[in-house]
Amino acid sequence: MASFDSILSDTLPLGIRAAARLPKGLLKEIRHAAALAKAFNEEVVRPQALAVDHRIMDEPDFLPHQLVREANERGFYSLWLPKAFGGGGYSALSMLAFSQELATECLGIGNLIGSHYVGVALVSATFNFTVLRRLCADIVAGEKNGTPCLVSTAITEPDAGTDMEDVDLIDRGHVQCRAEKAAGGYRLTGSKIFISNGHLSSWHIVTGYTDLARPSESSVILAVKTGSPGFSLGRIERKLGQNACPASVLNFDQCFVPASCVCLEPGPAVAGASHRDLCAMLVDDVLAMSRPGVAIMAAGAARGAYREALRHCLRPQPGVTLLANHEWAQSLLAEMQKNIKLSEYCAWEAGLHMALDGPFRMLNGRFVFWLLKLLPVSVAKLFFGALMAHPSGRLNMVKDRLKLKHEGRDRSYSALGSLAKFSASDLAIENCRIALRLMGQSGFRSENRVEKILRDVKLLQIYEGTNQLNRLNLFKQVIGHGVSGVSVFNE
Amino acid sequence: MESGLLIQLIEKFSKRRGERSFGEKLKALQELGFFQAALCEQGISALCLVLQELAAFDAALAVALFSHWAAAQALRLARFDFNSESPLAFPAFRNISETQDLQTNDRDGRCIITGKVESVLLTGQATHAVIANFLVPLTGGTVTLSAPVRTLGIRSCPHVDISMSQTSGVRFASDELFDQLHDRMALPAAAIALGISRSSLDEAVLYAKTRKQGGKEIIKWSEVWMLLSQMTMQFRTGAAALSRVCAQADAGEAGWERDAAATAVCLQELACALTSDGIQILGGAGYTTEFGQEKRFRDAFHTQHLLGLLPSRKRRFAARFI
Repeated sequence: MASFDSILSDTLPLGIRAAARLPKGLLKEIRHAAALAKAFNEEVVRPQALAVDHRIMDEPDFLPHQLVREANERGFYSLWLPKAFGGGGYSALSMLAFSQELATECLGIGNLIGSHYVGVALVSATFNFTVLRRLCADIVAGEKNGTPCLVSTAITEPDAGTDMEDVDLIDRGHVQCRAEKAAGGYRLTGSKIFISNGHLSSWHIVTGYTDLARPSESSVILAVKTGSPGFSLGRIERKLGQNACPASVLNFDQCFVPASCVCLEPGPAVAGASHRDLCAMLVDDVLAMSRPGVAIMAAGAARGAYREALRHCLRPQPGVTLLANHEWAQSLLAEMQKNIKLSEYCAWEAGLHMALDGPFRMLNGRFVFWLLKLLPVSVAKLFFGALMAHPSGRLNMVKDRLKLKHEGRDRSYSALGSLAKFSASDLAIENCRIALRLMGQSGFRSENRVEKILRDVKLLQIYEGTNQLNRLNLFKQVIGHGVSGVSVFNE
Repeated sequence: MESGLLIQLIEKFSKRRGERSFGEKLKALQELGFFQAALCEQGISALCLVLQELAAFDAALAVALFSHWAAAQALRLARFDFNSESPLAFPAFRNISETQDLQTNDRDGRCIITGKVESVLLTGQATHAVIANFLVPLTGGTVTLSAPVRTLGIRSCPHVDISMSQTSGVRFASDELFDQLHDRMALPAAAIALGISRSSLDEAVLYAKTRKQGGKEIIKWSEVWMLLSQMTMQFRTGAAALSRVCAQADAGEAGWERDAAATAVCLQELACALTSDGIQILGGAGYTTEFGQEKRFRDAFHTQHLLGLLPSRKRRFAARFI
């Protein structure tokens, strides 16, 4: 059993053990992903990030369509989709490298791409490959015809924020988004708030509930297309940072969602797992996939703050000793490097754990990795596409997922994801704090970028569960798990 | 003007809710007499009380007043006779003694100045700026003011870069002024940090008592009340320290300058941590402009630089007091 305790007591970090298990081609892919982001940063992000940030501060309803189109032209919205569904087939691990590089320049623009894949991950975690195939087809078509097709994830509600992050909390919350069974699908009524990319997305993966009093047992996950009757976009939140990525309100008024767009609905137990169990696993998996992403973006932002601080410390000023030659400044710069490295280690450990032990671990096995790399797209589509979309495909995936649960491996990667997320985001804030102190009044001037990094980074301590909730998740998953007399969320 | 009168004034101001824009609020402060040079004669306790109240309401107003008072205080300490009807511009975020980027040439009782000073707070219709120990007219062809720069916080109070080219100013004091001015303005800077902290704490407590998660008010979750307790204790400790050192300063007790410098740095650092936690209590709501927490967070990180770079002030502290 690969419990968290055994990971902690193992003298070898996952990274070392992973080196022996991961295909060598993956390293090349990871480097390529980082290089793609670096080029995007140099050509698009750095020249535009500040201007977009300022424009949105002046015109809060402005949407950065041009940036989305630039990312779309470069294939960033499909690169990490399964090859069997027309995507680039890149591994989620390479996305860590991509996200980190992007975050060194702008977290908001990083999130324009990252949150799209959270929506994709949510559908993937339902193992409903029929809906996934349809989404992927639209995304790939959108890249070909120049009309970006993004996916948003709509879970948070006006009176239920943190409650939505854990199935143990949701029944005590006050969810209001009702999904009523109707002929040929569902009718959705309610509102979702703080939805990243809501105003820019073509598809929205929405959670609704057939019984508002028992949401954990009655969750429905629906794919809603922009323009559907009864669906409307509400306001865009005015927020502290990450302005390039709009946080939207989505409204549903008897919005009909056809059965073909239902990703998951209440039903009989699958392989012995109740609907509630399946939902709990799904929530945990999606968060365990996204939290290492938040952590690596924090590492990237911490590096961005460091870079600007170092630049300032190396700037000569007449009649004054170079700041970088003061011992106290050297010590602070070293501290910033430490924070970057610790964040990177945490994020990669969590990402590797998910890659090696998560529900899609088979994709990182040498045989499947190379098979998917070498197979022509048409063959991959024909063979794997059909296999995954077959009902037995879902059943097998659920059974495999349950195996992870029985072995306790899901608790380990969930815990490590939380640990990485809260550690790295706290360290990123710390780097911004140090950068501002090194830079003085230069630091608070927007043109020097650090103040934007601080504003952007603060959100990393909040989304994908506040850092406070993530600490509790770490306790729940491994420290308090199975300990007699210990419970979580029950004080 | 007595301290009691000053407190009455701030109460009057806080009751005037008609003014909406920063300019209108600033004008109201002027009408109430807050920019009178005579206010600088007040005890430090009274000035701090005013700034703390104002900062809790809107830190930009407090900083505007702080910068004017700092400039006026510099002139007063130097016994330089200058009475302006307008607020004075002042580079409040720069080390007071910093002059290395200015070329100066004393000539016939005037000083010809060339150079650029960044992020000067331009309060109201300022006609003069106090830069280090120079009084500089802002009118005339030799001074250029930039458009307001975009900043992290204190956004409604314009920060401009002043470029001087052979500008005729006045060296109104010797370098000995700097330590005196630092001492005098350290506690007002601390009061602004404390005011921002207080309003962040107040909003966090209010929200925690009304917002429900997990079926109960979030203040009932022990992780939340523990954080609120921590914030409250930090604030109370800061308030006690400020009050004590203000009393020391007003009484002229030996060593108050040391304690003032220490209190200012500690409270400015504290405000950054406390306002960050203040957002955290509100979660996503705290990140939006719908609540005041994001502004307080920005303002706290911004105003930590009042009186200059924090590490430089620590170095100065070590040199003077250790």
